Amino acid sequence: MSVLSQQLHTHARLNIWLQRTWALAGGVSVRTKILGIVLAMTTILGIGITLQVRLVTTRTFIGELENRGNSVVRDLAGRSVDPLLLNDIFGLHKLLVETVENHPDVRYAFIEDGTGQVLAHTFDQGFPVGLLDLNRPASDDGSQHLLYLSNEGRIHDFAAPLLSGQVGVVRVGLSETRLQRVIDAITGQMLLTMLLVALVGIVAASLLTWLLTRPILDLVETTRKVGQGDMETLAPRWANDEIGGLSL
Amino acid sequence: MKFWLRAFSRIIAGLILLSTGCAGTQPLMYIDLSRREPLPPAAPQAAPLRLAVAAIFSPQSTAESYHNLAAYLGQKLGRPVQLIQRRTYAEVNNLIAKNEVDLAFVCTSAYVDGHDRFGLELLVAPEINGQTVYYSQLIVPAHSPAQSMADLRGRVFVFTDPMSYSGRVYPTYLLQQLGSPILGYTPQAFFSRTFFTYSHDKAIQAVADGVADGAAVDSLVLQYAIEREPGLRERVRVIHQSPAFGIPPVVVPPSLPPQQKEELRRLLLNMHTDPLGGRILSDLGIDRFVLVEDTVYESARQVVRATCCLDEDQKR
Repeated sequence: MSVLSQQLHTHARLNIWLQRTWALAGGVSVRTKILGIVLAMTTILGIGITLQVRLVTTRTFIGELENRGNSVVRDLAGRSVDPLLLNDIFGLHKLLVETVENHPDVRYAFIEDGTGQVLAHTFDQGFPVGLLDLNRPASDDGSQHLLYLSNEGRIHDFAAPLLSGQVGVVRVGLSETRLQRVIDAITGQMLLTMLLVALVGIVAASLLTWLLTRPILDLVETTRKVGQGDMETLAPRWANDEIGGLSL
Repeated sequence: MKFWLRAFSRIIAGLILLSTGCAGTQPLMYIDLSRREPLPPAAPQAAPLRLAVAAIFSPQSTAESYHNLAAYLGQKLGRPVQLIQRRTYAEVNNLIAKNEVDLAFVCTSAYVDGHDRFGLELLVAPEINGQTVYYSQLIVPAHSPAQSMADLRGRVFVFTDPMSYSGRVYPTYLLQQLGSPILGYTPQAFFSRTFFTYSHDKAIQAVADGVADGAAVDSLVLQYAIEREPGLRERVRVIHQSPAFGIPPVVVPPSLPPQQKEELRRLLLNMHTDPLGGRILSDLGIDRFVLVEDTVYESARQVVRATCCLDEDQKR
């Protein structure tokens, strides 16, 4: 099937779906229509805003996470050089542990010497060797960022050279897990707000529907009575507006 | 009506696309962080030449300065060179005493101590500006009114290393000369506070930044630091210079096989004649390496003995 015929087929199916929907919507009372419109608009607006806010928040948070990762790995690279050169391996280990403790999104940190041998790391009971050749500094003085998927979610790995890579490389991994929890909490709050707004909207729409449809229903009832031959019947005048003018 | 319905469906489709279609389309690599293994052992290497450099400069500056020299020695000897640094001169001396180092650049008093304690041997000494001597220079911040060591009484003074000749032994000796002939001043009694920076460049920086009111530093390091950062000339001032003492030498442990010792000596003595070797020496501010006798260090030895600085450290 060609692309053009596929598009025509999709368009025809969409049209059929829309006609059926309109047939259903056209068959209900005015009150239901107004309530339905208010509810649909509130829901669509709420979902739209929630999606957009979630998208913007995610982008901002991930951008900040990347900036933070770059800062942390460069700071760690600067502070690791002296202990590494002085063979102070415990000092290096302490530095890495403190970095992980002081930055809630930092999942791990480790240091390799000039030959690629891991000198210190923050993992318990072994080391995930898959990390070893995953990321390398792109240049002698800049850090390199790499995003990968793990069993703990998405991880941003940063690599920075120590003394232009002569003496080693420092690696830091930042997890998105905490930020995703914050984003989910914001989304949940927004959906709850949307629900409350929809409820207020339904109450307001019910009042509006009552105000609008009561005189119309009275006019319908009066018209029915006149149709049955009762020429004395008058529709009550509820307000001095366009509908009120019809009752005269 | 159909138009509006069509438009509405398009808006919804657009929103869904916006929320889902913005994620990267490239598949991400997967790593299982819970799969831990013991780290692979280091690949076996030829026995390296262990080259130690005392912390005259900060570890980072030393690594930057001596990296090319280490690479040159490795290339000429046909085996890797391991650059070893420790925080203090005493730690480097202990490594040499335990034969954990094959070749070392040490401070004058570290040589005097090592020679007298465990037979540390002179190999060669650097010649700088045609001389094999250096000085201890007393520096203060440029705006300081101090004109001599006596003016620093009650001030904050920074030492470089407990074993440093120019950075601790000589200024301690100066204080002794300031007191009575029988009982001279001690740093603790003379200054309000003292501390160690464990390298000369950090001591210069501490005085330049006003962290300390004075320091005694290696004249060669001060000259090198000013060449690298000319602004220092405006921030520190030399108020006293010691007599000339024997320059910090290159040494080997007494147990190093004579053949290896001779090979290293020949290599260093001829380094300036090789174009690459000459460039590396020039970057280090060294003209060439020359042979020196232990007698060159006799004047420094007398001052060390007079102050007993190193004896006190040994007792500690």
